[in-house]
Amino acid sequence: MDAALLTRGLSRRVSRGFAVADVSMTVPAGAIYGLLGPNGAGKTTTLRLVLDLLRPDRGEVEILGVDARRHPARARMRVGYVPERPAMPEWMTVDRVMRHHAAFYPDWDWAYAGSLRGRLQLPPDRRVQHLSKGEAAKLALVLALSHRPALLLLDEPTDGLDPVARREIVELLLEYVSDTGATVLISSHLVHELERFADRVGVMDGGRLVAETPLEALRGSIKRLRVEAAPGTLGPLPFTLLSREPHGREEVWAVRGWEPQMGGDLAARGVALRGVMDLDLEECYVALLRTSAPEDVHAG
Amino acid sequence: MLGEMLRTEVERRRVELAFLTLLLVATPGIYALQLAGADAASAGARLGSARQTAGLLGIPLMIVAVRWGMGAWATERRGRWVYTLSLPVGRRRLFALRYLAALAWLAVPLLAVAVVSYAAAAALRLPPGLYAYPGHFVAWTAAFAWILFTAGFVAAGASAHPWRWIVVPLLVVILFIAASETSWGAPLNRVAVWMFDSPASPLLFFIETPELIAY
Repeated sequence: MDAALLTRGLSRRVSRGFAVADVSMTVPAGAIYGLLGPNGAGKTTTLRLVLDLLRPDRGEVEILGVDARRHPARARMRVGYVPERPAMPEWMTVDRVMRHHAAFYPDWDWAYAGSLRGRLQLPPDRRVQHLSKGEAAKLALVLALSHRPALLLLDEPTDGLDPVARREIVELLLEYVSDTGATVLISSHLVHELERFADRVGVMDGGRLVAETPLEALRGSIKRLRVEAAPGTLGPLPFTLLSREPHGREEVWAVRGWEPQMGGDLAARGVALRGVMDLDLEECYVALLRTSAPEDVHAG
Repeated sequence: MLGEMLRTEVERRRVELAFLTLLLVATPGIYALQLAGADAASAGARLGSARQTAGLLGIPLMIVAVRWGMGAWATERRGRWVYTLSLPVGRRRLFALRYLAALAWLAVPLLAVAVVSYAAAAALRLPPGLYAYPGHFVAWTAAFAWILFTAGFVAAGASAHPWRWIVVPLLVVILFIAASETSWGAPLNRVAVWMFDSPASPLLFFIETPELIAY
């Protein structure tokens, strides 16, 4: 499996109360990788560290085979980046921002850039400071796509947008990916949105990557069990018990690593299994976050 | 890339550039006009008045030069990161390009100062022996603007709050001066005297420059 993006032990202390710690992430070439996590989990900081917008304290980053710590500019040449809050110079017009970007990318495709701008109905003469939030997000995507990058890093690109703008952006993104086979790393806390198109997810919490797995594997690995007559202390179990909540006479457990044959093990402990349910991605994500206990760093 | 940086700088700051040019052109103009026609007897008094004018214009020059330096980053910085860093340009190269672009445009008003100074010196009858004008004047103004511009540029590149880097030292200077006027400020007084009287002080031109004129 070729990796479009690889980080190893990526760390940076951001403030007294928050650090991104030891993030080792593998984004396979051609994948749409969803980076999930609550606000303050370290997703934005991680993307900035990957692009060398912030200098890591330690760790390695490889982008499309280029050592991005040693050659960050060369690595960024093939990356399209949409920041969390679009930060184009506010005094520039839409057209001027595009010309400004084009000056830095030898592969800038003006025909494609023009067609994207037209399709997203961005007024060329309007200043950035007068764009709506949705228009600014669309412009950021146009800037990220117009040099036809092989890797897209999108930091909550649809956060706070109305459903129409969100759909336009997602459609454009998926179209680009299907046309070019580009790799996408998209961070979001909108789990349902990622569930539609991501094929691999990483979950961050408290500055750490607490899980990284194919989407289906994550969804399949966490189950909800309805049990009865469970003792207070269970001893070692063949699966990971993520949470247990009383529910009338029964208890509801969220478990990871469940296999059907483990029902016998429960019966041997006097626990009556009443049902096994699949969780959707959001429930899996919440169950994971409830049990990810950062050891020495905490989200700010 | 340098071409794009130059274009960006001048498009964004043409009003500021025009103001700075006017300010810097006015200084040598007024300075020369106040001294024009003075003989050896009246030159001293006129020079004092001209220095006051130049000193008054020196304060906005300080502010504008620092602002010019800081402005090279101001619209791109978003808290802890600078937007342009996401473009495929190395940090050092970006820093150098930005610096050169902003400095190139700063050279325009400084060039105007030189032109006006030399034109005034040629057109007006200045006191005999005023060898410091226009050469020293132009050199001091350029050096002063360049140092302040660089300080502002570096502060804005290094910090999200560059004014702290500029304002705090200025406040310290003001406190020094205030302290030097009081009885408890005797040690500070010596520092202040050194700052303003030392031949190496860049402030010298705007405060006391007896060596600029020689009869």
